[in-house]
Amino acid sequence: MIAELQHAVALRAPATADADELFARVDACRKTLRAWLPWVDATRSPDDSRAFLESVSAGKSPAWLIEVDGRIGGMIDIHGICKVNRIGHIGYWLADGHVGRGIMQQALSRVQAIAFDELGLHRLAIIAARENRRSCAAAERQGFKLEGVLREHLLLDGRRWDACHYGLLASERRAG
Amino acid sequence: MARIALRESDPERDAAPLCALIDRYRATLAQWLTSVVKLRSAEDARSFLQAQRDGNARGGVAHRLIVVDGEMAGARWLHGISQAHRYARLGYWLADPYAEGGIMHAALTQLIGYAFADLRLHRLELGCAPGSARSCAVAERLGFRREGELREAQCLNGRFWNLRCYGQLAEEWKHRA
Repeated sequence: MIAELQHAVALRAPATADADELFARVDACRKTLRAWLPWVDATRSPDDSRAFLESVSAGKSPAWLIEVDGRIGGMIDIHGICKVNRIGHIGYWLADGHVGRGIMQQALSRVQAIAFDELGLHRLAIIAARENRRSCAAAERQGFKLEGVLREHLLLDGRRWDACHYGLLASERRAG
Repeated sequence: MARIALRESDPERDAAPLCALIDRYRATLAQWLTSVVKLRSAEDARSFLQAQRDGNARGGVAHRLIVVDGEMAGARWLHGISQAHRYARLGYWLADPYAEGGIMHAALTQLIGYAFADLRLHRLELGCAPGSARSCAVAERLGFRREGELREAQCLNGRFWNLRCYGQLAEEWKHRA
């Protein structure tokens, strides 16, 4: 048995200077990403990525680049934060070559720590199309519970999809 | 039979009566609502109503006061409208004396018709605490289906409560019995 190499996974706040590398990464995985991410088709040049990164810096939703061995491998964010109800939604994507290697699990653990410890949230949610098995599996592996299936909630590429709504409470967070 | 009217608010004229209505029924309204019970002065109410009017003008949120036999009774509106996915959520409240008699059913029937036929939305959603029996009954009578229960998703009066999710599709509304 060959021991799997441990990849160095880090979360880093994005800057507009990351636009070229981010665009190149999205562009290379366009076919896979566009299936579930509506913004992919609208990302046609590094300028689009730059505009996106500027909106992230100006916005209120924290977002991070997922760096794998020093290179951009994906992104993760906490959006829709509600201070009254102390809830937030996590969104994420990973470039083709990185899926299935535990990288998103590391990124999600880090984001959980930030959400619960630093932002003081009480609950995190993940919404993913039921057929987006990888995304659902990532949520389930982190201990998120499936709380409902919203029928035909998503319209992607002209098709309707049911959405799985997952939730995790601060009290359910795993140690470590 | 109560006479039910739906009308857009006039922030100047409606602020004081709205504030008085909320003050009077604050205890019951505060059980399940956060937005309206925050209004504590006519000035709060005026800017709240102005924001709803702006929303009507900008994004078709269809905020309407519910008026019963000439008296202000509550309100209903759309929020969280997604143009990309073509859905929206329903928001609504009624003061205690108007909770029976199908008033909310009538007010929401009109709103649902508008959302599906005029805004061409594909899906409507609403959320209410399982303990808010009236609100759940309104949803079910309108044909909404229970799609899940989000655990501890709303904080009211210092406690976290589950939120039951209801959904209805345009096709289902069209073919309702």
